[in-house]
Amino acid sequence: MRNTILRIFLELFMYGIFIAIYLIIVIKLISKPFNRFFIEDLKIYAILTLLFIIGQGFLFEYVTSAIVDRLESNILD
Amino acid sequence: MYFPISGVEVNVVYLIVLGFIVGALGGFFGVGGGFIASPIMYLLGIPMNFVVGTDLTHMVGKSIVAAKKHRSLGHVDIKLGFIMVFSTIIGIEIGAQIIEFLKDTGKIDVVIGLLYVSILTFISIFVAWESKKALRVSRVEKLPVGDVVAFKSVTRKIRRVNIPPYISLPESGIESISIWIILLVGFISGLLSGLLGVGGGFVRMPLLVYLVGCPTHVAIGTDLFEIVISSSYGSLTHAIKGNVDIMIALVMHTGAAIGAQMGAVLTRYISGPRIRLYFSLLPIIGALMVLYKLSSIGAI
Repeated sequence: MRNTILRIFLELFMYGIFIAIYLIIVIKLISKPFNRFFIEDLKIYAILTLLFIIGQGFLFEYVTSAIVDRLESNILD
Repeated sequence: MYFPISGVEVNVVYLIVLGFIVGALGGFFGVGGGFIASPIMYLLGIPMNFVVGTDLTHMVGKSIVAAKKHRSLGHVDIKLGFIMVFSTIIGIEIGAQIIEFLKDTGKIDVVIGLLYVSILTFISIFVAWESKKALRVSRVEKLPVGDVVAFKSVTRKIRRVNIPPYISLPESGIESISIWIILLVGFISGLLSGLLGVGGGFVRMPLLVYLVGCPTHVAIGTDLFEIVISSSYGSLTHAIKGNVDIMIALVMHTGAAIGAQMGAVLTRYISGPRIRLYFSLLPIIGALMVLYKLSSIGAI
């Protein structure tokens, strides 16, 4: 039980590092262009918004799926 | 972190943790989680007009993660989801029109609020009663608890509705059902969604189980698939009106993604009636939130 909890925390910690790097690089990079579109053209902003959240949805599905599957197989072992 | 689009400074850790909580609820129960996310986002200082649109946008990404996981577990009936989408959107639009009509009467907050509380309380009591009964039936009759439903008589009557065309839904284990029943379920959930300003998950999941006869796990997965489409539509319309802060949505989604994965995986280890029993607590929380909001503005 103690090992299981430790594994969960370890995986979440590693995921936390991934998020921190992701936020620093990606979010900082796209923040300014998105802000400009928000001011200048809301239609383009709306389309890009939807595309980005769908894109991030698929990317994070891939990453989190790998984490959860590994966690599950470790716990079942 | 400063978010220039909505002009607010919010601690990203709060957003990620909030995303994680609503993501886990979404993955496990097949709901959007707006009833929890919206008030907390507002408390974090995000302007109200950005709360709804941004929450809907993060819901798109979160539901993609949860729906894909449920799909890999065989819990998504794509055919059923696509059919429901059409009537859900019609229902949302009609609900929104009713809101416009009620605005003129000046009592919109009280009427909608009390309607919301009544519906959610009814759903909560009914689902709790039914799931407890189902768990008792499976224990007494020594049935595998898998997906016992204690309310089969209504489902059987509804399945006998003789209005063509009929379709089969093999992924939900349904041989033949009138397409109008599915459209009706989509329409009711869309109407309530447009009328009450919430995602339809609260209503759709129980309707899919009790009226259409879907297994609970398939109802959850299909509901999430439906949320991907309906919240994409909602996100786009809100973004065009300038009510979405994509940066906040992306940050929230980083927490929601892992929460949604964990919630979805957890459904594999818990039986249908037990999920429904836990689910019955959610509408009551939603109803209490609305009562609190109504009393804080002095409406009741």
